[in-house]
Amino acid sequence: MKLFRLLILFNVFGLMGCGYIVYDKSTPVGKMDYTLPAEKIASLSYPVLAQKVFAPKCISCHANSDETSLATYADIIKNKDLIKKAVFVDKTMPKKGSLTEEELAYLWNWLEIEAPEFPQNGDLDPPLEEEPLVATFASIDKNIFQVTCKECHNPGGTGKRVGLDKDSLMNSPLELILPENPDESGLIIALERSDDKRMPPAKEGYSALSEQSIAVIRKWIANGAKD
Amino acid sequence: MKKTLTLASLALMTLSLYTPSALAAVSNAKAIELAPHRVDRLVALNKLDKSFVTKMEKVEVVVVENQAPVYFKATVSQTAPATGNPVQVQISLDQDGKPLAFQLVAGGIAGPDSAWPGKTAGELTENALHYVLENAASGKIALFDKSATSVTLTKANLNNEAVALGQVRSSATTEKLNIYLKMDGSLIKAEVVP
Repeated sequence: MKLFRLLILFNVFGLMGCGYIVYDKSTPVGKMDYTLPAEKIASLSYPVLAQKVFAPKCISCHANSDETSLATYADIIKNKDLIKKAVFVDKTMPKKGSLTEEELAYLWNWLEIEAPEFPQNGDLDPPLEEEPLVATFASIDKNIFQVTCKECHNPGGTGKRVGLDKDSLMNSPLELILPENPDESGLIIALERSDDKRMPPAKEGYSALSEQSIAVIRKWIANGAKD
Repeated sequence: MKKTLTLASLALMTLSLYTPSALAAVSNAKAIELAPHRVDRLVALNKLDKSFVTKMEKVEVVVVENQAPVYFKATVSQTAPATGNPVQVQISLDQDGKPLAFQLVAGGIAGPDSAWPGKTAGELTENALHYVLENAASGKIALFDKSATSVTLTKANLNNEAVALGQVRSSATTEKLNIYLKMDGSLIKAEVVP
């Protein structure tokens, strides 16, 4: 009888315990602390997030004007819930690489305050301007290769046979760069071709580089690929 | 006498260091692997018929002497040309594997079109050579890197599955290296066979 009472008590407390397991789908799984100071949260805006997260980590795949585009503020608002789920709950995005703790904190807090286009503190000063893309190797490397290509084109990546440092580009037997001849340079051919050998590869979810980006690389090669 | 012999030995050793194979910055297998890349480029630039990529069957390489800056000559054959008689393309490469020139040459024997369903014949050939290049430091594979003479791509059957077989031959051994690939170009296995 005593044992029976104990069993009843055990089951009652056990069931009550279950009641405390509430899974909040809006809560990031596995990582709870994305705290930012209140003044920092108040300064979050679309331009800040675009510069810090969307441009470097998302746009290379999500630049198309289809339903998963993240190219504009309107696109992001439309996909806000999907972004939250994919990054913080399912953790399926970004597919290539990952967000840093800081980037996660910015994104999480910005989404939590309903993803404002402008900062809540009324500070309308734009964030620091990114260095514009110009026809030099340093600029192309920073704004294109490091953002879109180095995920695969690194010594351990699937694109390890094709290095994108300047020496490799200039000296590759694949003739990736033919100074003053962008039309026959392997890099340009790879970027502009429309078959499954296009780079970045469509089959891995990448969009083609923008015409503007390719034009800058073309200009750099046409100028002799010196700088 | 002893001094003369020593000097002669030293001279021979020095000469042996400067034989053609010691001068190359890339191996024969790398030169073979670069040939399909070059063919793909020539096709992209509309300088060569696309069938050289889609119907590539064999790439042979020889090291040439006294034709500097040409160091390698790679001959690419296809199973069937788009029109007319079978032709081959011969690509001249320098010792770093950089392409110097190409020319169409009469030759080759037209065979059945393998109609590769996934990757092109050119990509499958490249992928077969990637196995050699990535394993060049290990045992027998080194013989198929330094002294490779050809790769031939055919369809084969492995465990009741149609696969691509890249067979690499080498001047350093009578054995052959069979590299089996799925139609998407991924490696299944490789084996050295008599």
